Amino acid sequence: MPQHPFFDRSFSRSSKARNAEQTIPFVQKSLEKNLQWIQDEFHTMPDLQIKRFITNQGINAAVIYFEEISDKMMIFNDIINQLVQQGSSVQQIQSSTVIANKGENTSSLIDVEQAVLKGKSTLFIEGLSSAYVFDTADFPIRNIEEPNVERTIKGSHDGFVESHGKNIALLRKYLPSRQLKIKQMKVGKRGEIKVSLMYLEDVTRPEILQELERRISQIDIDVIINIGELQQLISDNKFTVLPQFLETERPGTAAMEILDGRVAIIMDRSPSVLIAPIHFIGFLKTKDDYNINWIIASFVRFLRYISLAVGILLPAFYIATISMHFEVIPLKLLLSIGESRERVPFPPLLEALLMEFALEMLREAGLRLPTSIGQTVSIVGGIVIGQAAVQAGVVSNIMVIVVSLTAICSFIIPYYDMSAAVRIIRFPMMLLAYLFGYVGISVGIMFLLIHIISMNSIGVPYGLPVTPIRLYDWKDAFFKLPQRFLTTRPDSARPIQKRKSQLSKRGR
Amino acid sequence: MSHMQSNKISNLQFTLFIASTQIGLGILYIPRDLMRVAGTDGWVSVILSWILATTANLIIIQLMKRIPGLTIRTALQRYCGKWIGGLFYLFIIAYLIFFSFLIVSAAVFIVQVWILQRIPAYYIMLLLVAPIFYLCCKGVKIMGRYVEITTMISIWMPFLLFIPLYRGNLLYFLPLIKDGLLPILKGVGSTLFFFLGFEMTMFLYPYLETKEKASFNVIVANTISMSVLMLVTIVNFSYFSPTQLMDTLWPTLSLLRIITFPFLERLEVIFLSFYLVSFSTTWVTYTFFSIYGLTGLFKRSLLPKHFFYFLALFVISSFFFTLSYNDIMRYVKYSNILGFFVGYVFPILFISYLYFFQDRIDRRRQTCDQKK
Amino acid sequence: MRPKKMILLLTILSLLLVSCTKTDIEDQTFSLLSGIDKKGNQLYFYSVAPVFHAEAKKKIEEYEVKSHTMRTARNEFDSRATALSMANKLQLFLVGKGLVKEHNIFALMDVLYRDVTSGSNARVVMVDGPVKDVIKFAPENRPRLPIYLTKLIDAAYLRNLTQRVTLLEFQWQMIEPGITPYITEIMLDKQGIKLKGIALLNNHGKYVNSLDLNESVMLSMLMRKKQGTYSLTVPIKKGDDKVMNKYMSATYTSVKDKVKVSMREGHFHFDVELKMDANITESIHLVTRDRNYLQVEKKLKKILDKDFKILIKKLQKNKVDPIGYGLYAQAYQYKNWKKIKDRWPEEFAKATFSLKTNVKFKYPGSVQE
Repeated sequence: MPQHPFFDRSFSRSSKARNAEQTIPFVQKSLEKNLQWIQDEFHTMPDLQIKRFITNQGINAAVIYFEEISDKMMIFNDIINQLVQQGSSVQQIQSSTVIANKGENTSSLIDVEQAVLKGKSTLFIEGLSSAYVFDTADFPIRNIEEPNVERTIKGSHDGFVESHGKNIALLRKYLPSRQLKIKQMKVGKRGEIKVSLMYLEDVTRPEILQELERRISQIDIDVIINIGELQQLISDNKFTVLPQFLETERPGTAAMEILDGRVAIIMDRSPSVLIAPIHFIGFLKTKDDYNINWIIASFVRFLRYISLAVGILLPAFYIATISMHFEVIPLKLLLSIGESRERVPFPPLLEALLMEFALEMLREAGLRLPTSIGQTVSIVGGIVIGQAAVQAGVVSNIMVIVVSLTAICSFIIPYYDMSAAVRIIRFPMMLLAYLFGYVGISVGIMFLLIHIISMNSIGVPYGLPVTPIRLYDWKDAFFKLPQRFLTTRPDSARPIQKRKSQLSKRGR
Repeated sequence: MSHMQSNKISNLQFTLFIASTQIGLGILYIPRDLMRVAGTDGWVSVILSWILATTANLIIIQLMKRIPGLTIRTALQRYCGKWIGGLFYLFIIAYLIFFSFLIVSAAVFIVQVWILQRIPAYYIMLLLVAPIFYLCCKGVKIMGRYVEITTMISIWMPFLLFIPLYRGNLLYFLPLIKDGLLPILKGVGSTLFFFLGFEMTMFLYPYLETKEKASFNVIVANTISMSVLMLVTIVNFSYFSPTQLMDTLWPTLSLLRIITFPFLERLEVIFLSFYLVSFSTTWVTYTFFSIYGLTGLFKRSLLPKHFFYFLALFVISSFFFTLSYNDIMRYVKYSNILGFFVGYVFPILFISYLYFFQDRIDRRRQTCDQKK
Repeated sequence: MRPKKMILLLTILSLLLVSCTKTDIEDQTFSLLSGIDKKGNQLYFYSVAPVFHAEAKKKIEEYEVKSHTMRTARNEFDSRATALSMANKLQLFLVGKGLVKEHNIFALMDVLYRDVTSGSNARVVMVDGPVKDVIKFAPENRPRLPIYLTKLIDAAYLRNLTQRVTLLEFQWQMIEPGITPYITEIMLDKQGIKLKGIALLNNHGKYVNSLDLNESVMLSMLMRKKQGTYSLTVPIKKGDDKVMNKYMSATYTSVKDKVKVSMREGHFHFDVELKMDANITESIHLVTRDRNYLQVEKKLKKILDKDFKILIKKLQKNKVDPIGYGLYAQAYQYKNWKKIKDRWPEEFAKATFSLKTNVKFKYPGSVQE
């Protein structure tokens, strides 16, 4: 029994009882009655256009569409014009011999309403108890441009846009293969939105796909605006800072992940695409690595791992050394540190937290400011205030160095989710280091390790290929061997077809 | 048991499990003990005890092969009667509990003496107990992965020991076997307990996924532990003079102290803190299986709250009393004796018992079941 | 379970916040230099530590206290300094000659070994003279005393003009029966602190004799651990010129020694062969005009043999074995060693040596006469 979306409250049980009593509106034979119903439902919506006209055969008809989200040219040329001037019958139009877009026949006014809200136009004809829906959706969208947060040096500079269809098109451009399949689902009770899962049929493990489908179909929400919400609704672990889906705006990256056997989740209205399943190491790889020389790529990968470690551990290490274990520092350094710390009235943890929070605030502020002011403020904030703070003796200069080095290291991580997680993990580490010295850091590392290795991403262990160990996959994890060695797909997506460039039995 | 079904560990994890459980506290105090008893030929004792321990471990594997699909507890209760079997099992569990408590207390003690002198013991206990709790709640599979990753990040530690070796004095080893075999045999007495950890095989075996290579894994695991102990022994023996070694309480740590890098001195502080990560595999195994055994014995399913109460007991006890060095050494002796029975004596007894009586008992059970 | 978890978490957090017995660097004095001396029958303890206060004019503070043991002296230091004193970063440990001559200093140093936090890398140094003078020595254009002294000793050690003995090595030397201890020796003269060489102690830790710089270089060539460069100057021929004589200096590299131990007539006999390569660094009036290097090599060998013999005789006369020939005896003659191991210095004095040097010229530098 189709439920009227206007009255649906996803958390209210009484609405179900209420809905049972509603009469289901059907398309009436009388044009005026249909139009009256539409006008009643769509009141206070001046952008809804009702264009009445008389067909060539003298029948009254009307087309309904929303002004800015339908392609008016198509409506006028292909529908109204055809009917009025060319004399095509409605059947001809509907069978798509004269119109490029799909057309559907429906007798439910609910479907009509849904369709019109999605940009489609509906044709009512006097005397017919069904309406024709034409797909003339033309939502305003951006041009294809490079995403801001995922820049590459070489490589294609295109990025996903906010249109579902265009994103699928971009992916098809990268993977023109018969095995690239799409599973479409609709999510959301109040505002339905299309979610598509794209995958390679002969590579992706069917269980992963089924699990994803199951989770998405169980989502119980009225509207999803951001893909981040979708991510939170279908992830395995709710209580973690570490991201469990890879969010990317580049078609190239998504295509490479699909090739490895992962599933790309595309949501309409979202310029990011989610990749699942993903593992920890996956956040430290970029598409650029495959574009440059393998030795340099290995070096850059190695650099990323070091900056991951530094980003998490350096402030903690510094605080532990300064407050509890200064005998570890060689004498000359110790004397200079002692001298610079002498002028600071705060204990090291407080000093570090002060600097870290200042940096985080600057970072957040920098996001909100327009670029012209943003640059000036960051220079002023970063350099001048830092310098002034050191001179005033509020922080020591070594602390400034440590904090800025940490910040730089967290920027090296290619994906925002992971670098944000690193930023957060730093703070408990610093606290542990201050309270318990190196032992605290060890315990913190233990906790972090246990956390990482116990997580699963759609049933695949998060710690692959480190734990459980898959030495064979290390050739593309910490360093990158030349392309000719990378002939098998990594186990981290549990693909059912291990060897690359192996076509399925049916050909491409 | 569904707990076993969902918690399979791979062969590599099995190997590393045994090896990391063995490499624990022993590294820090055994060279001194060995020098006291065996002199500079103690390294031969290491090899001898390695052979003994591997043999005992292989016997355990054979034992487990004889009782496929059963755990030690169910096997004991099946073949020895519910109460007698339960009693034996309780003995084993008591050893595990005692040893896990001892290990954690020893770790707290060392940390307090060497690194965090001014922090009270119960804090350190709380700190060390927290990750154990977290890990135990996750189960054996995650413990297996944990063991893999801690081994990987601890790989650099043995290499540090090569630096004092360079400044060592290999002349101390000459002449070989200077005082005859008797000191070496006495030395076996002290190194034998380093390899304790292999009795965990009894508990780990049911979780192993592919059981065919278990014997090979066991040999590899014991060899890994042996090489680490050998390295530590040789480095200690070559750097310290025999009398000096006997006077130094934690010779390995004193050794590390002399290593200096341009940016770091006093390395033993860092080493010891990091060693805790590798050490945690020892105490997590013992703690997990003690609670596992206890709950199994009393026919309850394994729940996080059991771990919680057990570990809370540790913390609360450390609040009230702390162990001294002599206490720890004494308890180590007791646990060594207990461990000797559990690891070396019990498997031999049980397997010979099974050799003679298993068929008879199985047949009797079959007829009993048929009658029903 | 949820409210229980919350309560637990809160109690843990509150406990954590209450803890905190923390001291930062600036609240700690770590002595960089420690010293013991005696005047009459009273022991004096010294400590030199850096000062971190921005307001202080001098960057260093020195203390002298009278006490019985090092630990009580530390309490005294605490009563004067603005911070807690620790021995974590100790660089130098000075002892006065007057003290070492008559007493076993190793017994006094016990706290440095027993305390887990003290560093084992401090260098043990004997001062030929009162320690107080060295402590007070603070010239304007030199870095802080501990740093200056450390650098002096380390630099000299690289040239093998002296030996650098850390606390751990000193303990090893004292406890090991096959070797007698030795430490660096310095003195204070009008121009400042000067490195005298090596001070030899007997196996009770008391001072017996010293070796000057030249002898120190030779001693280090005999030692088991070789590092750095060895530079010796030997007179080749005594001429009539009183001011300038025929000398040759050479740097010796790749020094290798082979020691064989045997028993002869009830005492030990050591056959030592010393192989080395020589690079000439200086030759004054030297006869190499005829380019007969073999001749010079032979002469050098004879002179070196003689010099080493004199050195070993000196060691034997003083009944000290800093090189550690006892270790070789233990390794190669274990049964005989076991009998006499508690009296090794006397046996060493009775032992016979046959030391041969084997010098090869590597290259004469950029000038060839």
